Amino acid sequence: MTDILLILFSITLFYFAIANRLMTYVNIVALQGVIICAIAILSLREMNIINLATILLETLIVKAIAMPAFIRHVILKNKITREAEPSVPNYVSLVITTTIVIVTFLISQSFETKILNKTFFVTALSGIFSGLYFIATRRKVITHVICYVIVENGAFILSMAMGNEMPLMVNLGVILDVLVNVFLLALFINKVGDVTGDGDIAHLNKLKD
Amino acid sequence: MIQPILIYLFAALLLSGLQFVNRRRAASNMLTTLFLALQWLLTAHAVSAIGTTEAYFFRYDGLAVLMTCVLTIIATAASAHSSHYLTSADMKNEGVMRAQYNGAMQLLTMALTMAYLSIHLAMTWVFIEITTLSASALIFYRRNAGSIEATWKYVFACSISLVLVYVGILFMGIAMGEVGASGLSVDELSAHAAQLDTFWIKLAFIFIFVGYTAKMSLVPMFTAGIDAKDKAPTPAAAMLSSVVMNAGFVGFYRMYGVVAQTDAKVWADWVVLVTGLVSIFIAAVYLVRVKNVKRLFAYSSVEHMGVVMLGIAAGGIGIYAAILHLVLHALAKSAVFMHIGHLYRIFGTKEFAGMGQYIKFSNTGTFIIIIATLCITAMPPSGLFVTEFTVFKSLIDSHLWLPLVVALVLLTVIVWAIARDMFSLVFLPDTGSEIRRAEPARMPWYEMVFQFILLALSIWLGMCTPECVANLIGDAANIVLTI
Repeated sequence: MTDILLILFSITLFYFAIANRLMTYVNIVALQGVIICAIAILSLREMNIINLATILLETLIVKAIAMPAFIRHVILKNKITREAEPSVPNYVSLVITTTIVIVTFLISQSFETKILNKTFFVTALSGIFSGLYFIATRRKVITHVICYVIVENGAFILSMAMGNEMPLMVNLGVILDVLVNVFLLALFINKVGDVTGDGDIAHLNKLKD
Repeated sequence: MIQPILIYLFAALLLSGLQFVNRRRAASNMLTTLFLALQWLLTAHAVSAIGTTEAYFFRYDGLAVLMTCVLTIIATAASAHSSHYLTSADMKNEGVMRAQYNGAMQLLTMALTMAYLSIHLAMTWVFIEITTLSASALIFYRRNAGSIEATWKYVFACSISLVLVYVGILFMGIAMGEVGASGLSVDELSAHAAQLDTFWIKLAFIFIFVGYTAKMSLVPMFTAGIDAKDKAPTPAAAMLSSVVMNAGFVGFYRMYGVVAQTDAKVWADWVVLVTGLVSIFIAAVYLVRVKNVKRLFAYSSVEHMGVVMLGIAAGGIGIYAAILHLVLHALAKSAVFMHIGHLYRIFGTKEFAGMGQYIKFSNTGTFIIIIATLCITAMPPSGLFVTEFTVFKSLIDSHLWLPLVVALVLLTVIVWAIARDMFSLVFLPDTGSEIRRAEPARMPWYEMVFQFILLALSIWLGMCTPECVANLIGDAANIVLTI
């Protein structure tokens, strides 16, 4: 079952690569939050109940509900154009995302492991590198935040693969999620929107040599 | 009994929290003084308790004590400069902004101290994450388009970098799990280093190293730091270009100390060497064309960190030189950034086009700028001359001739570029039409004293390193060398 959820997570990356509208991006990220929550329930069985409850709350409430809702609010408030306007054609993004998944799969075949489920490894690294690729090829500030969440989701999946052995790291991942997301979104994105008007990264390019 | 490090942590958090809520200047000054007293007390305790571990995660080893001493000196100077900066800056909501500035500055100092002292990969990561958040509050201080852009880039790049570090730490956890061990403190990792799978070690190292390059101002993540140093208030920029970079280095070096005990060391050395060389190259390219004094010295930090990486990669005496280089660079660079605050008060701009004939405005300032330029370009009597020379010697000892030649050529270009801009600033008339302040601003005596002390320390510690400092550096270098 966990493997199916992980594969579903990978499919959301492909969908993200070919999606055009910002609201689709937000929905994909919300779906990823739900998938991660389900993976946490299935894979962190040995964790103590308070820890597990915190993680479930974080994945479900922060990742799947609060963040997407807040991003939607920022998009509407700042009247950001609904088109994602990627700087490369969608089919190129699809090819690159596929390449990332294939390469991480091939890497996963190059080592033996006793404790790690390789599907977690492939999905996590695919999420991280696809997220970084999406950041590089999208222009809007708000899209960068959405793509950052994908990178973070990738890291979180990897932490869950080791969650029973290293609960400290999973908790730190949760702290990272909450701190940075609150900081990036609640405090900052609003300010960027106030200054640039439309949340377009093109306005944040004055500092250069 | 509660251990001193925890008392420091809670007291620092309390004082910083009080700063955030306090709106009165007198109370703010008192809280700053209390915090500095606390910082000096911890530093004195660290010096007297070398080698001891507290609260499982923190140890007063050579590297940590050395970096904490440097931090305490620079934080004290930065606080003195901040008081003048906050009074002279005409801002609305003065009370709120002062509260946020001082609170963030104290939080940053506390987080840096804890990051230096931590011997646990995850704990170091936590405190470096706090430095990102507190530093971004400082960069955001002026709340204009430029500071928003710089803060946005800094927070975003550092957050991505810290996710990479997080993944790297997870890989180290997997490597430990594979051999049936657990724990992420350097002691536990070192104890099992010989058995760890090279594949996981390499993967972990590359993620952690790339992640910390954002803090260290190295290729590939250096760009965010440049904008941050440009837009942050000068005392905060002084911290960002010295002690914050050192925190990134400590995070990297703790991991490198583990890697150095495995078969992946040779590979890691090449990664570090190439990163160092590319960083120096990038710094040289930008330094030739840069038009802003803060950005000039921000790129110079990229160059110096590149030199440090060359020393680490060369090994042997290069490691000793690299660590001393970090210390001297931090002292000299923070003095320069603090003096840029005075330049801005006189010329009203940071662009070279609007600055010139500084010698007419301030004899003392001119003297400081010339000494600082010599220090930063590693010309005698700069202590950095000694450390760079030793790094080159270690490259020769390791038969790394090509990197040596490339580095020497690039450093020559860098020395020319910095000297050209700085001597033009001092002696030649400006070329632009920016509005200059009517009255030359007078530098407060304590700013001058702190800048002289920092520069003098940078020269003295390099030219005739005291035995106690040499022992600390030796202890830090032994993390890698005794293997």
